Amino acid sequence: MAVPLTLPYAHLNLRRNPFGELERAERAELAEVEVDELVECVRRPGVAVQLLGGSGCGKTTHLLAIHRRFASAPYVKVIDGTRARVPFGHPVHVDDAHLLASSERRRLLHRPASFVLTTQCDLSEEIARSGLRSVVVRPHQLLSADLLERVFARRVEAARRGPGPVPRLARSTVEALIERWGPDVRSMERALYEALARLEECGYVRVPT
Amino acid sequence: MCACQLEVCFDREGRSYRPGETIRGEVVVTSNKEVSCRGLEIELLWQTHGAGNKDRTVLDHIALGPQRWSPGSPWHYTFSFAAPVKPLTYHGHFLNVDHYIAARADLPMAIDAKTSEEYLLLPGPSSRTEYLAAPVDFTQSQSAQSGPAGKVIGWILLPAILGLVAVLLGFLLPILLAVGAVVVLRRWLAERRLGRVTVDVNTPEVGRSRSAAAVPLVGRLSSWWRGDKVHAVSPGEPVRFHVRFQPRGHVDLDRVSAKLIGTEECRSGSGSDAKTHKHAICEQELVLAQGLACYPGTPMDLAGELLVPDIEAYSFRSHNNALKWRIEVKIEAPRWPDWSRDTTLALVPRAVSP
Repeated sequence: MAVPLTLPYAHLNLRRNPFGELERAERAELAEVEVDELVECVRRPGVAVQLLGGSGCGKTTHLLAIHRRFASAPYVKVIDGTRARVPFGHPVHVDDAHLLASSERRRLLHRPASFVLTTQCDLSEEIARSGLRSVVVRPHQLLSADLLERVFARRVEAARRGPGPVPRLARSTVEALIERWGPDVRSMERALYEALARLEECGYVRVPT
Repeated sequence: MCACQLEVCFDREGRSYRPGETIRGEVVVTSNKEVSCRGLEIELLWQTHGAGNKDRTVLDHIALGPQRWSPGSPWHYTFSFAAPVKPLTYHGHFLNVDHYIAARADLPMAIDAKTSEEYLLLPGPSSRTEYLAAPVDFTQSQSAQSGPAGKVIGWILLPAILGLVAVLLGFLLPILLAVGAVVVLRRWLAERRLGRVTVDVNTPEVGRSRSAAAVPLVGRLSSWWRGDKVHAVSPGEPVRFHVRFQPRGHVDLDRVSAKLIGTEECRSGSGSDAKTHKHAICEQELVLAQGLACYPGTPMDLAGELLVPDIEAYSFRSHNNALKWRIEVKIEAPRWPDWSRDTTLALVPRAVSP
């Protein structure tokens, strides 16, 4: 006989796996990042904020958190191998700006606006040539066990089904994740997704080291 | 903190509904101060969640006009929707397909108040017929579907696209030809000794593994264009099949085997960050023959039976997520390329009495 269906993750007092893929709006809502200063920076035209770092370190999370403050401002995710059309507006948010063709990027940076760019390579020279003030933020340098503990706890809380206990992460688990994955938060989330999917009852999420 | 809270309540304790039944309930609004709402929307929708990007389809909705809520007793808004036919609820490892009633209050100059609650859509008496009647959902990606306007634009752009493809082919053609030649050569070599191999599955055919385009092709070319037959199976049922061939010469086979494979496939991220997560929900192998000597002109008929596990993991495909079933038949001969072929299965609900 087939196992009768129950509500998803109800045994863990959750609605879904907290470490699964989130929609853009959910990611922005749950972003545990401090962006007040950056938001002030880009309020007036003439500034380019670069969120610089490798894959999965929190660049897009910062970008989404900033974009949340400028809901009607343009936001574009550049897909490798396709031509991105960046709408006019201010400030302009571009995810993966390093994937834009250099001519396209040059044209973009000459617009009378401010820019928030995520990039894997430093675009400071191009930004300076465009007469913009460059602000560089390296999200991986802001990561700490404290921050990650808050990030993961917030993800779990957002998936909470009702009052009562929910799965928890021990500090030692967070430290082990940093040890294993460095600044790659996306890989940590994938490991936590697997660990939580296997959890049979509320308790500590343990990640194999 | 929102000025008002929304709550979705169902008329049934277990929140289980079957296609065609009526989902009734109410959205309860409580507020801690005077609130003006520009509109209250109640939606019936399904959504995937898990390791892949979320796919979501709103199936029906109720739009209520402006409302005024004041502190004190809660406000009740009843809803009533016909339970959809599919996709049926599925909870797996990387993929979950859930149905929701979602409510959203459009609040001026404030973040909208919203909530959603899942309900379970279980197979009903009409589910089998409905799944069998619409096989295109098993095989065609949502991203490949387009509306009438899209089709018109598609036809206008077709010459330009074909031109571009022709230019690209000029560069890519030698590589494509080389890869194609290796694939064809392997199969040709395998069938050179085995003769033409057929895999016949004894369950109803529900469609083809590729969409039937309006291209005037005939015979084997048409069959190739439309892809292989898709066969319907149900949880807990056996899949019976025959592997038939007539060797052209003497051949000693190491092994003939068949595998029933069920996989969740979910794509997360996009562009260079895209990643496909695969999880096998079923993988069972049946060895049909081992150390088999075949003689020229002697027809071989190997029958097999694989039992589909009793899990409600019906075939599903959305833009980023899929649940696929197939039978992979493999014929291994010593010092010769293996012959293998996949037969797509569509896992559909079994017949349920009303």
